[in-house]
Amino acid sequence: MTERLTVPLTMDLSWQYASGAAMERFCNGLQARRIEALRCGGCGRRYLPPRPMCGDCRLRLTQWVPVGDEGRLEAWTIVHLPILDGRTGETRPSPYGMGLIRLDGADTTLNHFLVESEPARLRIGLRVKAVWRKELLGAMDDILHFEVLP
Amino acid sequence: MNRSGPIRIPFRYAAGETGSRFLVALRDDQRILGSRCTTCERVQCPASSFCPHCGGATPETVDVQPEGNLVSWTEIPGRGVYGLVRLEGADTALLHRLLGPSTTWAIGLRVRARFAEERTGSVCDIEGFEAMEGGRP
Repeated sequence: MTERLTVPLTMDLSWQYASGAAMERFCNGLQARRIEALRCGGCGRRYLPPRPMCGDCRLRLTQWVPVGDEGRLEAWTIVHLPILDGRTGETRPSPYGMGLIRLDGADTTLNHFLVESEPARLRIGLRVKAVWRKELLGAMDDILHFEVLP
Repeated sequence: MNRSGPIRIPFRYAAGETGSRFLVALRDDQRILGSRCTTCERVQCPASSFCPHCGGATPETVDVQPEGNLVSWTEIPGRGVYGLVRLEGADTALLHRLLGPSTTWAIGLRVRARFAEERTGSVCDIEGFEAMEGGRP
């Protein structure tokens, strides 16, 4: 019988993303350690990450409001089967935490990494804080992850 | 603002019985195998376990020559020149790299396979196809 071969190949799925004006301003703010949400003039909902239009009122959003880098953990999970991180093309070493975080001053949640040495103490409602990269680049991952406040 | 990033997905392609025979022949013997259909007698190259023309079984592998004619070609900017090569003894064309600048190539040109020095059992064990001396159509 013939030797059976498997041929190693790499599929290249490199991507480009045009952020739009709102995300551009948001990322530029991150470079100055500033987090801003967009507030709807109709319902008052403060969107973070920002989006150009209110999903409920269909109004264009133009009013920027400051948001803190601390907030409330609204949901969390521990990831054992990591997906590829689009920014690096690599998988993050697992297990790792992911959380939905509602920052103080925002009404929507941000999906981000959650670092906690004692996962058993994770619960909804915990106070968490952003951990910033030392050299800020004006990108979403200027916030490296969130950690639980004591 | 524009962002870009790499996503590269590594995977392994299982060549199967006939595909493996084709790749092992490239790797170990620098031979190119085709497969002859028992129904319509067409020879596929690369060798395949069935005939895509009539659906017949292709139990028999045959040697095809490392030389043939360029059926068609194109240049992909930044990536090189690619061509469809119908090798002597085959009825189908093989897609592969053409070695040389785009000014070299013309439909019907006589070409010959150049094998890679280090062969691993992949279709890239053929490094590409070179134009043959006096091979102008």
